[in-house]
Amino acid sequence: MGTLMAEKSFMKRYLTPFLFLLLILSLQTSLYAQEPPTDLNNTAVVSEIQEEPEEEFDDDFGDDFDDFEEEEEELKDDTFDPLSGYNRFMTSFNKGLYTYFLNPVLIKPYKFILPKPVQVSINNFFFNLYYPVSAVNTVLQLKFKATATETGRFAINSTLGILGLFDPAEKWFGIEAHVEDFGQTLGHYGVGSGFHIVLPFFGPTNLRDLSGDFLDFYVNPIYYVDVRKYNLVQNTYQSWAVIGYKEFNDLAVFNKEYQSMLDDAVDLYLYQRETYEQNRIKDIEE
Amino acid sequence: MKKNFLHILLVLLMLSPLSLFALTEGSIKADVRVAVDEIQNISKNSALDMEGKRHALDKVIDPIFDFTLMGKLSLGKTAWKALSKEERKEFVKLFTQRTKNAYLSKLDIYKDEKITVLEPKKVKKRIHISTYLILEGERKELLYKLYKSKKDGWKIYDVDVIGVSLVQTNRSQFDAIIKKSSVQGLLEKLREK
Repeated sequence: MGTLMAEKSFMKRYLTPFLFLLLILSLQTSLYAQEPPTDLNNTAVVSEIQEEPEEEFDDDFGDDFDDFEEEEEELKDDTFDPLSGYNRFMTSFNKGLYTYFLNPVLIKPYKFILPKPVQVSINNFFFNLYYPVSAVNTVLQLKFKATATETGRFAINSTLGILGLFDPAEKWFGIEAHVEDFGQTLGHYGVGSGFHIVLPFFGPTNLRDLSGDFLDFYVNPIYYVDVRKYNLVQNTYQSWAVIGYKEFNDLAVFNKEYQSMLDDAVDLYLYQRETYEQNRIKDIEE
Repeated sequence: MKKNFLHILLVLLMLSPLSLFALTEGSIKADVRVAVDEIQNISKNSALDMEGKRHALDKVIDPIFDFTLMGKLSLGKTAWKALSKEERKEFVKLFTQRTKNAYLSKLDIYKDEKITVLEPKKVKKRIHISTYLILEGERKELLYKLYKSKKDGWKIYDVDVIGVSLVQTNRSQFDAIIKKSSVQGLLEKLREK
């Protein structure tokens, strides 16, 4: 009974402000509806290069770069980033956490003990459990074909793939995953990204996607939601432990990619921000 | 007879190191296929040491990438103009090294994955060719953007990794560093890495 009360007040305390944020967000987008997001703009400009760029290494720039003048103008229009100070700090924190603790102390031994196929299977298992979120959001975006393929994937992988540990849907039937979350649904209906936020442990997100996450909680089976009948975990603590482990395993599976990203970046925060936001724009378009 | 002739032609093509990886409009898909396979083969080749691998990989990617143009685009006109002749040369050198490292380390991670090359698309005067691999059920896309150079046919001037343009991410980073310090400050940062 006590936990029930606690959960209810949890809802009151966290859900209401987030719905409020969502409202502000939608207002904000309608205000800025005229201005397309800068990221989108920038990518568009790159593909719009008209003149033949010179191929020789020469010092004086001909007219070749006159087209890029506009692009530079575009870039000077700074992205709205009110949390940049905090975000930069959090980016360094996450990087430090990975470099000095997670990778050497936990991930390396973990990868040494657990064979790669097992890690991948664990990853597949959680990926399969994400099905309700993708299903709901494909429906909300009226992408019924994706709803069908996701349902097919879930059915095949939960049975033939032994509770989702394997991915025969892709390997044998060639059905590719089509992940959708609530942040994408909001984006699909024109909600702007809001400002960029870097979370401790979880990394880059933005106001829209973070708000979306809070709604996805309600359909994602690995979260504990009291009002729901089909909880896989007993309480909120267990749920966080499971989520923490899922993220950890994910990092272990993809730690080479993560490391190469750390190596590639000249300015890690901007690199991650740009990568995240551009990637989300692409995901929303699809 | 015809088949034999084709085989001989193929062998001849393979033997001439320059024409092997040049990109021509009519055969871009096949050319990219050859280049991608070659890169994967080299990355997998355990007989080669790091130095040897790098040397072999350079031979594949140097003729098809225009790192100079990529660097210029990443820097932008204003910043480029602010550099002296020597600094420009240094920038291009540092940039080329960095970009190659980044690209090759990515392909090294995916050396055992099956990469599919899609049909090229003509986008205005450019050609975009997409390749992808499936990782844990999800499609990871690598899109090459090419322009026609005056001398050696089509060259890659930008790469989109899962929808994220390399030139674009470079630009926003470079721009921020330049604003915070100077173009020289950026060079300093590039030297560090």
